[in-house]
Amino acid sequence: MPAFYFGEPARSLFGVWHEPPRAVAAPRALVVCAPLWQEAIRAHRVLRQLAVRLAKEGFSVLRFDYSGAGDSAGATEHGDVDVWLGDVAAAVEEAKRGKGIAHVTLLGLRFGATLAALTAARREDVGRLVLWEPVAEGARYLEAGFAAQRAWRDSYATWRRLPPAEVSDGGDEILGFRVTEAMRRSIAAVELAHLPRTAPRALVIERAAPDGADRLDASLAAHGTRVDHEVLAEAEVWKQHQVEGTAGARQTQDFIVAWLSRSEP
Amino acid sequence: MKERPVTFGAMKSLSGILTEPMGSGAGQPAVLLLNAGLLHRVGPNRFYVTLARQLAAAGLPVLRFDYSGLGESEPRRDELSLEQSMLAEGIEAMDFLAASGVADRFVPMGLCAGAENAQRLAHEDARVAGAVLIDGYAYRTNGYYLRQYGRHVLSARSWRRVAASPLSWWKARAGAQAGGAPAGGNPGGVGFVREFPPRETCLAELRAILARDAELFFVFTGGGMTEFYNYAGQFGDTFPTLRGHPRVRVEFMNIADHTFTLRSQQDALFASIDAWARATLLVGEARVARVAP
Repeated sequence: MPAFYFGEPARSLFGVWHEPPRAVAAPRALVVCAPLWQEAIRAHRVLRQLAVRLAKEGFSVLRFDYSGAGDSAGATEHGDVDVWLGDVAAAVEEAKRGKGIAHVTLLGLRFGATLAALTAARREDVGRLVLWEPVAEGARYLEAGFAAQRAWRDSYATWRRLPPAEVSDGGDEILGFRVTEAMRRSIAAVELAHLPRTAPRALVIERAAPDGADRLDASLAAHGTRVDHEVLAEAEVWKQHQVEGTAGARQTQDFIVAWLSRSEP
Repeated sequence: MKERPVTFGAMKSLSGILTEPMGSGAGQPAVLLLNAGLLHRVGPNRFYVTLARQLAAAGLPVLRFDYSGLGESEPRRDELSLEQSMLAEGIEAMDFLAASGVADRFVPMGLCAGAENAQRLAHEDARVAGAVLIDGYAYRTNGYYLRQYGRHVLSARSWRRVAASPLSWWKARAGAQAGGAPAGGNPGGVGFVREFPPRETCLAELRAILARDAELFFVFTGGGMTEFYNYAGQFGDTFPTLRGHPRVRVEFMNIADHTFTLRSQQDALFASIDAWARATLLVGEARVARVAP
């Protein structure tokens, strides 16, 4: 699993290849789009496990970190939706480079799924989308994130018997990460229900069908995408840390591997 | 500052990122950032990445890597215990940096399990020139108990609770004594039981490390260590023979939780470590005046 940097030197992106154990006749490339911030750290191991499994099924899998995230260049405050979409585009180009591949599959978790769908709407070379618990509405996503931060801050101050002013965060943090105005504005503007044409095939996986999920399906289908929607009520891997050997969302992983192995764009 | 991915170790299975100063880092010790528990090498809230780049900007090479079975590193296939493998892999990291001509002296740093591993590595390997131990081993003192339970003694509400349910009060107290999280959850602590070596063993290790002229920087958070550490002078009360030691610095960050969730606390930690590193680790003209303990 070679690790490397790619993209423009000024914003080099960290990537890891997971290649099939044997040469395959028709190579298939898949790019993994991670969640943002704390969710990315918590889901890291599970996405790696999934990449290893998909490589065994014959996929060339590229995992990478967005600008300002993980091991990529940039301060943690760097980035907004446009920057991250540029990163996904760079990863798609990298996945196709030198392989003679016409189409790639994008697999995203949480806001990574959102970025995958938005990327597919901008390009002709995304054959399949796997959207694992996508964020359909950016404004609600931010609202939930800031609410989680307030809940943590209040319970921490109460537990420590600290004056609230001493655990002040300026109102711009979500669980350890500062959310800049550019991030906030660009994320709030995201509405997947208004997507234009994306990919020929899509799999949407959610723990429960929340408000807006049916609109996402309808939006995808309205532009010719064949959509499979699966509800799998498993542990939310972006909410807790996982280690090697734990079965993080095993059922979901099994379902994704099976769907990708049988569906063709 | 420049970064590159590296692979090393006896089985070439350990994955890391080497961050080096833009100029020559020759002669400077290299920092090793050790996994904080199960988190991969970017650390809690990605603060290992920020710290690595900041220390490299100060002139120090920094390697952040994943122990086997964590982050990007493959699991081990041998029979070593977790403690043995982490020690072996820390030594392999130093061997790799030495063989690559990056450094021949080292400074392990880490949070929680990373601090415990840093202390172990510093004790076992004479190439270690210093260590930063964030929420590492800690021991309760009379001063700790006074602060932890004193307020309950004076609280009418606590006495009413004891009178109403003596057993539940005793269970809660026993749980805290064993190092577990308090009933009702701990929003800023470790969230699991930690086991520390006997105080005398820890002191013997620290004395052996200091006898080699190594520098030690201890950071304790108020939120992360509530069950073990709760006032600024506790380290000196725990180890009186190390109080005021010229190569020991101790900082108590009362507001911070175990993973430095608040950005202001992350920034304060970066500033403290940066100042300490510039004053104690840098070799030659780059070194700045020592920070007052």
